[in-house]
Amino acid sequence: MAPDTLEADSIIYRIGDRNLLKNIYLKCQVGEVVGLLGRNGSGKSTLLKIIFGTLETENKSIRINGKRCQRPFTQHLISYLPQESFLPRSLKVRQLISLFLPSREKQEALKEHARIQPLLSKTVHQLSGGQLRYLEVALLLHLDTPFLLLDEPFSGIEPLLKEHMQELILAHKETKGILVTDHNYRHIIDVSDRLILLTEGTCRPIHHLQELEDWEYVPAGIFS
Amino acid sequence: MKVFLHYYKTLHAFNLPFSLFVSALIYSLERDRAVFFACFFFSFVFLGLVLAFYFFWLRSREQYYFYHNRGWSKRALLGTCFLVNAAFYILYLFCKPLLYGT
Repeated sequence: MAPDTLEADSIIYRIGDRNLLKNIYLKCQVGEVVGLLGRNGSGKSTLLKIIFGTLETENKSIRINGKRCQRPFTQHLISYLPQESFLPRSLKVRQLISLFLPSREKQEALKEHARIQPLLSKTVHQLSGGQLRYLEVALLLHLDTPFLLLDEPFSGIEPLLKEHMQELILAHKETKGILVTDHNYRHIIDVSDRLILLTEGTCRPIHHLQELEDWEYVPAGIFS
Repeated sequence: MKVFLHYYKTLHAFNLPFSLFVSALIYSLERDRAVFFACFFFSFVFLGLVLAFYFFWLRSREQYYFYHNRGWSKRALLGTCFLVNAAFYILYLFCKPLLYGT
């Protein structure tokens, strides 16, 4: 059986006179991690919000297994990690897990997770930035949605936790299609099966890392 | 539904005391129980609810992704809150003859 497939097609987004996204097409299948790279202001977060369904645009076609979905999040098909923290800050981590995850099995699995278990009795606002980001990604990975969009999961976390975050993402790769973007391109390269560069409003598949230099995403000489 | 109830409680941490305050204020001027309840439900179903929604959006707009990730859009959240509060109002209308004996 073919894996579940997410296709984002014909996405156009304008801000005033500027065409931020011009006829975007990208595809992600369950079982792969797709890294989305791009410079500041290239439209990565905008694109993820459009795919998730919370940002309206003049034209888009989001298809899951060929079936069109206008707002995939309302059908539990896609989950999304925004750049800013999205968890209610007054809840204890234990309460939060029970509230957020519908499956009791998944709740218990996450509560027993080695890096989450010590945090259970803390409230969300007591967590460090890194712990909070790790918890957010872990919660989203335990939802039953087939696709996950991660907007800067590595931002503001210490190097050791970044390694753990990579392990966490890769541990759930078989059951999800993951689209991930971050300015920390080395972690994106390490965790991704394939790369896409969002530049000048279009998505360009990257087959060789040197192409990132050619498109002036990284300084010359980094990969050559 | 648990996620919706969390949102409902969060919004009503403002809406309920606000609606009680407004209706108590009006009651202190009018000294009429019917006016008190009319003001309370007007605020509880419309004014206080919209203000609570606005203040939540102003202070914690990123938190909407908590609910979006569980399938709730802003419109669905607000709409369901409105329907729940409207149901309380309808319940009040049924109980009104018992309260006032008319």
